Amino acid sequence: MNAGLPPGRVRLFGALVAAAAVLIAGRLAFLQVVRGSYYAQMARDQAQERIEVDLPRATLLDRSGFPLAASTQSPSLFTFDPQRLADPVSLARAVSMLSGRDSDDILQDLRSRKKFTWLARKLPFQKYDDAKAICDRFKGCEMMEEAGRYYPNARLAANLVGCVGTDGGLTGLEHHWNATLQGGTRRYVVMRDAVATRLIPMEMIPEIAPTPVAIRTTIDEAIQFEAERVLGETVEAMNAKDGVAIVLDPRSGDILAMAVAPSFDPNQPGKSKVEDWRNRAVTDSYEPGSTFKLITLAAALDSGRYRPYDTVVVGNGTLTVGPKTIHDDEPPFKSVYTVEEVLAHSSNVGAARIGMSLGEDTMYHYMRLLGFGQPTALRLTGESPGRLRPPKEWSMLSLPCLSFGQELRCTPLQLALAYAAVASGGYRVIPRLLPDQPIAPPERILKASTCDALRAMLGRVVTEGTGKAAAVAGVAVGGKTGTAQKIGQKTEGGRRPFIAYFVGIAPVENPRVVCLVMVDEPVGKIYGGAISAPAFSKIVAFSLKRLANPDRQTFLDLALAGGRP
Amino acid sequence: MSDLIIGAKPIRQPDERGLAEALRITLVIFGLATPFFVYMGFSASLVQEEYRLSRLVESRHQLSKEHERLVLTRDALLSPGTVNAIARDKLGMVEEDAQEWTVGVEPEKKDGEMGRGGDGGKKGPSKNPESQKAGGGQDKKTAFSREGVATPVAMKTSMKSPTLGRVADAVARPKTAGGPEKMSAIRTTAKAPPAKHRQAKPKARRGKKP
Repeated sequence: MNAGLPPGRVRLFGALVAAAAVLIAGRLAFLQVVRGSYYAQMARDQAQERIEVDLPRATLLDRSGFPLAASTQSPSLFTFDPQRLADPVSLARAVSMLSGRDSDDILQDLRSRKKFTWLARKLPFQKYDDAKAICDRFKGCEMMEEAGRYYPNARLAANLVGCVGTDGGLTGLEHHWNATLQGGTRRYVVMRDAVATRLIPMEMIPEIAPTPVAIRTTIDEAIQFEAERVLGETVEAMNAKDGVAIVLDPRSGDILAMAVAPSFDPNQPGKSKVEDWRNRAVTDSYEPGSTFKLITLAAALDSGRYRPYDTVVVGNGTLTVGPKTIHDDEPPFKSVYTVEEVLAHSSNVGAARIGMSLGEDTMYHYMRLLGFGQPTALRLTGESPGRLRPPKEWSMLSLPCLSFGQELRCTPLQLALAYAAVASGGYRVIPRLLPDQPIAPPERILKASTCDALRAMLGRVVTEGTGKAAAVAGVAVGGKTGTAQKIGQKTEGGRRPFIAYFVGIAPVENPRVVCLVMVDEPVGKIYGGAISAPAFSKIVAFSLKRLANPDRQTFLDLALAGGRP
Repeated sequence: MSDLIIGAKPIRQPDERGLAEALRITLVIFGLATPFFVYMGFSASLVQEEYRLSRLVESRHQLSKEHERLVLTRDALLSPGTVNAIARDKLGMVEEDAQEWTVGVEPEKKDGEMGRGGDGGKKGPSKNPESQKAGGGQDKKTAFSREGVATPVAMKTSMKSPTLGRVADAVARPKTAGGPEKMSAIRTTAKAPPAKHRQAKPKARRGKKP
């Protein structure tokens, strides 16, 4: 039957077929053997996907273990296909009632041509059951849970703790410790189908570093609450611009409370002004006013140039330096004060004379030694170093003015730490927000005798001087009033450009707390002894009670026990 | 070699070999089927257990989430602000030193009677700045009377946030006639009137000073 075909053609055809077969086999061998691993990897990559899931942020706790910030799963409602919803109007109404979102907006979204549509995102976790009920009632409405952050105490310590946004911490400790709190991500390998829909997780890639579950801070929930309450009432009563209250333990440097007014609700940060998010205790610097006289006297006593009962001429309460005249706020009751009386009666002239006699270098040395002009060891985000110019930039008036707290600015925390150094017996106090952090080795910066004398002087300010309103029943407290004038600053709402301070220690003999109360731009009264001292008294009284009740941990327990030792 | 008998009648003998074969086949079938049925039984049981397990895992997951929510709710309820608000708003507790002056203009009085409630009859603004500087309750009284404007005509308890001890007082003590609600009226410390009241109409009154 092949008689018609010439044998040469048959052979040629056979050779071609054989060549084709060889080519195909060669190509197959190339694909399977030489490039086999490449294509296998490509196939795996198409079918598998590595996804990273953010782990919940670590919980922030107070010193007793109560949460200041916790992670939660917030329900979010969505639909894959709005066109298939049976009753979009009722659904929109129900979601509106749950989320507070306008039902017309929801309905508008549902009537758009989009397929995937969010109905409500990140609802409060308390509304989980309600959200689930809506999903059960309306076919096509789905629910998923998204990671959220919840602050059970709402405004408590909000300015210190801060808040979070989509990409992590926005302010406060949430921002400062963001890397630690965020913890990391958990990575999964998942299968996916031809349209890249994720199917099932195949394996979990082990964590590289363990994620912290919770971070304990030194903040005491109850003291923080009381400080905020008292400060808030004071700022409101005086119609002041803002205020700060700090309570710290001078023995360890633990910050027990850091209250700022006005504050904000970190659960709803968008409803407050951004400036209210600031932790003014560290981000804002103010003139310390007469509270700084303690630093002048510390320099005077510690340098050995003065003793507590040495005398200083204050004359009629005025001192002319160059073109300017320094005045005492009230005429002195005698023309010669002791060093102790200079502090007790807050004599500007006396402090200026002492400072001038010490000299620029000595004053500057002690100011730096006590932490002014440099950020604290906390190094919180946005922390201000304050402003202390070096002596070469000082004018003729600088030294006398610095001696009673003008021409420099410091943060409330810096000022509180300077007082803490005196309270601790002359050691540098390193502020701590982490109680598990080791206490720094003691570094003496003032003589013990200097601090003993200064503590006694602070006590006299309260018993005999300008700080009588700071007294606490049953406890000897000491402190210093301060009324700093804000030079060249405009004020609003009838406020006066003054800052009212009271910084003190309690008990005087063996201080357990250092407390600072600052009220900025009050209306009406301006004196620290009238505004801040009563607030100091309330906060310190409560703090001492609280610290005497270490076993009673919850606020409610303490309340039910009478809040008394 | 056996003899061949022609025409002999065949004898039927029992087929022992076939029986044994049947028995063997049956045993083989049972031998094969038993593991199969055992396997099937185990598989069914396994599937059931897996189903139960998945239900339990799901239930545990749900309960875990519910637990987290309850813990957060508990934390929120135990927070000082909530305790304070409940004590104040729901239980009607008051702070022991929370008093507000209800300030109004004195109805009709002779000139010499103005402002005696504040500082024992002292009239006119105090010249001593120490009185303001020292602050405290005394200062409030002085500031109150020296303006010569406002006179306390009534005191009412205010719903100020109670402090710990004060909440405790109210909780711990029985609600007798002098119970928690009235305690605040007994322990009073006058609160300074608002600045706007202190500064209201001062000039008109000052003109009447003796």
